[in-house]
Amino acid sequence: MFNHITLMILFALVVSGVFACLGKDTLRERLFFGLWLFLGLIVGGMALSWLMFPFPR
Amino acid sequence: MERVVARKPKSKSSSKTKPAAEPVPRPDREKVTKALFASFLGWIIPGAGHCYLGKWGRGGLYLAAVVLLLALGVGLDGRIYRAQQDQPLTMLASFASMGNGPAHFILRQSRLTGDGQGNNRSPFYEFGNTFILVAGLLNMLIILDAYDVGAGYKP
Repeated sequence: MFNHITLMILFALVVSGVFACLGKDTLRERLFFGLWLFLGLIVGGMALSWLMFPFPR
Repeated sequence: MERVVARKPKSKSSSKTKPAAEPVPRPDREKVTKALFASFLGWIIPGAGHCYLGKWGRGGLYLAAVVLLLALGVGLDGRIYRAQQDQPLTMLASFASMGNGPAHFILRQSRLTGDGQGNNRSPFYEFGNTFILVAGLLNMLIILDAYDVGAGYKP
């Protein structure tokens, strides 16, 4: 059921949801900030994983 | 003799200057006590501080988030850190994990986590550690937020 990508997505979802609620006050701001943070975490994670690809150890 | 240089006063008409923020009134003692109690409740049960302050939606979301991360961390064979004097970084990790409240101390003795050691042969061991530590750190932020809400600094 779990693999690295699903765990990364789950982690990004939970962390961005909590940070959006903590950092912003209105629902609209929370949705935008949460979405951007979620996408940033996913894209950043993927970019880092590709950067590390030539160095497996 | 000390030289005094007169500064040119900034023009008020400049569009770059921000309007001065209004001073935040200091909360009275009753509010501070309520905020501290909410923070303590938030440490015992994540999100309970917000529920105590009437923010049921946010409290429920925080409870679900922290419990989900902690349960996943334990399920993925993560470790509950103990502070060891010969490994200073474990002190930081232990502090972060303590943010999970009493669950940290219960899980440290539990068979679920192998007496807190986790299973370092599991492929998800590092994931589990990260989930447990992040759950604790998020709960610390949630506790601080509960204080701000209780003291009236935040809506």
